[in-house]
Amino acid sequence: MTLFRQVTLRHLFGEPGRTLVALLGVALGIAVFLSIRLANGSVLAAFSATVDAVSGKAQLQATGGPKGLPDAAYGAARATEGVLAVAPIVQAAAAAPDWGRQPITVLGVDLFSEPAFRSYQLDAGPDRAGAMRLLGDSRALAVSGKLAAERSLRVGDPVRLEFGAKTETWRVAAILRSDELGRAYAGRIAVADIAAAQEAFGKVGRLDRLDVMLAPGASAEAVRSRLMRALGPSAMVERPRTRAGQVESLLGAFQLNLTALSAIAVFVGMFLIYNSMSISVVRRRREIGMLRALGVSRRGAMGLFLAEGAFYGLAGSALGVAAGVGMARLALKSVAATVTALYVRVEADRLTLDPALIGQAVLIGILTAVAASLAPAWEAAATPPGQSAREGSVVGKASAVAFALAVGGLALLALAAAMSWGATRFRLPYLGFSAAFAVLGGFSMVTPILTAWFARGIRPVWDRLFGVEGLLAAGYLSDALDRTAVVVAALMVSLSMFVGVSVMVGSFRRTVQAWVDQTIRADIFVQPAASDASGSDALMPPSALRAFRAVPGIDGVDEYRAAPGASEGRPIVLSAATFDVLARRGSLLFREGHSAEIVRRAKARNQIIVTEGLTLRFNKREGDTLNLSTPRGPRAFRIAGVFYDYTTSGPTVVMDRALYRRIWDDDGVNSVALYLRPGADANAAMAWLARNAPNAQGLSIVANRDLHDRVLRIFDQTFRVTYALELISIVVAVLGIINTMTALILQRGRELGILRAVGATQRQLKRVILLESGLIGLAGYAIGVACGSALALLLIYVINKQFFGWTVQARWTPGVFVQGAAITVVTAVLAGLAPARQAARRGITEAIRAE
Amino acid sequence: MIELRDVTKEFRAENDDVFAVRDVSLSVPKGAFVAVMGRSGSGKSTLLNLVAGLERPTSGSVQVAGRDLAAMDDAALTAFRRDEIGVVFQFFNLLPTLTVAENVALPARLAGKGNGVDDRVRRLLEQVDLSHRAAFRPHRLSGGEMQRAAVARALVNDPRLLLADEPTGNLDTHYADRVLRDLRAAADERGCTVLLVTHSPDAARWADRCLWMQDGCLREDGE
Repeated sequence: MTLFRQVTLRHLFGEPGRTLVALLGVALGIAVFLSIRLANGSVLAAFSATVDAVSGKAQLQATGGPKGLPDAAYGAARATEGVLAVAPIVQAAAAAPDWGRQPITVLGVDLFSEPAFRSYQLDAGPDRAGAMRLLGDSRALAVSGKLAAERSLRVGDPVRLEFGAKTETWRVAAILRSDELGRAYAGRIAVADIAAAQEAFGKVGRLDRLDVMLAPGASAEAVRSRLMRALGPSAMVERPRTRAGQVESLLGAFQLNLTALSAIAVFVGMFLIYNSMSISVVRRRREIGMLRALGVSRRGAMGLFLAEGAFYGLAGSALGVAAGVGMARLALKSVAATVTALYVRVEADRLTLDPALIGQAVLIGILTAVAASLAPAWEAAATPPGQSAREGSVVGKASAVAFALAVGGLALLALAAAMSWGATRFRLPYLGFSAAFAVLGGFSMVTPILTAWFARGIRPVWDRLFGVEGLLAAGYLSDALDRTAVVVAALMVSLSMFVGVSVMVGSFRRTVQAWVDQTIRADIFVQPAASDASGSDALMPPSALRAFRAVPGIDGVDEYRAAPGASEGRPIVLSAATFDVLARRGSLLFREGHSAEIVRRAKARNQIIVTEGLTLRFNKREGDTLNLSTPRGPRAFRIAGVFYDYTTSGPTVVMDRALYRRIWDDDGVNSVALYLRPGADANAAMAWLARNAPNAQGLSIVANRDLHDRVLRIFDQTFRVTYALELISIVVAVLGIINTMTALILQRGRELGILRAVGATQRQLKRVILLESGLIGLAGYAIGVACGSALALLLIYVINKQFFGWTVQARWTPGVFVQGAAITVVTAVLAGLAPARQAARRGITEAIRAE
Repeated sequence: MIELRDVTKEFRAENDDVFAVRDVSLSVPKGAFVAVMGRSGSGKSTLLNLVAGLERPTSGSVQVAGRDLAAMDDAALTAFRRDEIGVVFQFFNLLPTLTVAENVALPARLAGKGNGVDDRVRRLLEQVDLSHRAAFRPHRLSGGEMQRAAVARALVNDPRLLLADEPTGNLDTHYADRVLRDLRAAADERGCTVLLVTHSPDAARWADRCLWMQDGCLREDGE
């Protein structure tokens, strides 16, 4: 400890620049890793909090397919043996047109049944009659305390809300002071009497859910079976936590994707620590030799450097935690928006600072830093007592190690290929991620030998292009291989991530664009404005549906319904479309076969079409049958075709609307696609709709082109976090270049001094350093492009396919490679600027004397 | 060739200023071979650095080949050193990253000379008996060979002044003699002025004139 304080800490504080750069490397890696974990965790916690708050003390919850449960189900549930209490719920997401269409969840509850399930503290002003007013007024709401505070609402204030396509004015009857409910949907929640809600939501006689409490001693499983029998075949009865669990497993893929990307930043940070530590060992070899001569044991010398690694890990992680929390706050909204766009509606406005996650991040920081210090510490321990600093021995050793590493790297790449094959063959997506890390590890291990070959190959070219400065730069690159190869590897990993993710995202975007062009063919799309804001299942009023058929120039109306459904006890999205219009005018992108033909066949034979995501989750293919829960019990449907759908990753079944209405007795329509006759003016039709459709302000009317743009906008938003992660990895790698070049300049002090003494100008010296930095960038680029291309293929054909069920056609856009070259080479040269200036400024005699 | 007038060089230490060279005046004519002897820390290397323009004097003037070094900025001084002065150091004289031939060619290439450099390097390597080592990297050379390559490098720009700082300090007698013979040849055959800093009387014997340095002061041999 004394030695650590007297020797190591003095070195660390004596070179604050280098220490800070290494600390920043760890800090950034940990910050990125932690921020993604925290943001993901907070989004999930927000979802669980909503499930908990909305479920209250319910031990079971019954839901009833697209149309919900009939009112009579309430009585049936209460009469079921083993049931102590039941609370009926209707629920809808409304949009507040005066508050920028902010979505607000409105729960319709039976105030007499509620106390057993949820505690309400209603702040109703001086007369304390909030509950009574809720019951007495058919347009009265209790709004959450948060909403009231945000919008300065007081009892008696009006609130305009859009339900479906109609807009209504409600009145605040009370402020909800309940901590529990106030947490649901990030506080954007209001409660109304169930009868008023049923009427407002267009759900008279229907219930969305029954919350059930068990009698003491009753078995949940037995009551569940009895309830299923009592409520009919389309009802699903589950424990509330199961739903959160389903969402968690659905989000698993998305979270793992981001976590794996953020782990790469930690990986790159490891290179930085390794470099910093081995520079430390080389520079202090004389000192280590002296300490060994004075009686410090091998183990002591090794411990000294491992402690230095742990110091970097601990201090870097501490910085990283502080930065990570800040970054998580920034990422939270974006992650929540992506989860909402892809899976389920989540509102997260508060970061959940999970101490376990923070502890884990610090531990990872320390462990990776210590692991990265192992090899340098071992080298330090191997220093014989009294040895002085000689660089030559390290250079020789480095090239011998490079060969051994290359052999290991090739083995790792072979393993990656085997794992990729296994991931697709046995549908094991996690194996895909392991393969991605094996690719990164394998390429990192072959980097030293490739860098040496690269330096040797480019020597004559650099000599011809840049003269003796180029010759020296190429020489330095290969001679300091133990140092430069590590920074080339760090840069390579960052760039390969950039190339891999960019090619994947670019290919994905092109595929989605082609898909949008082929499948979004209708001239006009209409849905209730409320769904636009909340992504909810708001329904189109029947009067609006009549108006669509009267639009001038109309050729076909495809009415679309999407409702919650179930197959073999698992939730799916159950959809219905107007198949004859879809077959005649629309088009879906099917995995096999022609769209019109498949849709016609499905309509004629009462078959279904399903998304690619469903086939992966349910292990089905074209021609197989799928059991769906219907009000008359489970029924098997043959799959007529499998189509690509990039708007959701959830499993979706689509059938003809006539079939759906027959079986589910549901007339609801969530959106419509209007096809005009050739030559008809879409703008004129939209203007007509705005004038003539009932309550047109409550409808979102979108032209074909706008919908195309909107889909791509959602797509771009989904990948925004990914780009931020890439950037941070590159920053870490650039720090590595600065650190390495600075250390190399100190290490080569005497050589640079001799160079100046024999006639090199300061300018020439700077050029040598900048050319060397540029070569590091070029080598990192060349290897990074190869590694990134392999990663792109893995991401496209293994990870995305297995995790999300999205088939993407790989497209290699030259722009990515040009951008990559600009990023690596330009940043590498820029990173060399400060060290180059430092090299040029050093006094010649001071440098020559340095040895 | 070398004119030093009342040159003093002091280094600032934490508590005290250290005089490395104290009030030294020296005149060395063109083509002379002068040895400066002295113990470690006597200031002889600092004197050589002042003549090479690697250090600037605290006071006094240093003129080499008629040029006042104090009047030159860093770029001019670098160019002057590259074109007019050749330097040989005691340790690690060669850049490990370049071959022997490339090391020898280095000052010429830094000066932007292209034509004829290869021929000149070949001739110089023949003169110092290192033709067979031209493509070798320095770590494969013996200490004596390294220093001979360094002498060849110092001569590549055909300098008027050759400065050597303990060039034989790390060599055995056989190799030391070989290097000193090369330095002598530079003076005799090329008319090069040679200033040799050494603590070895054997090395100093190759010089025409021997000076002593003690505590930063210079005196003629025998004074």
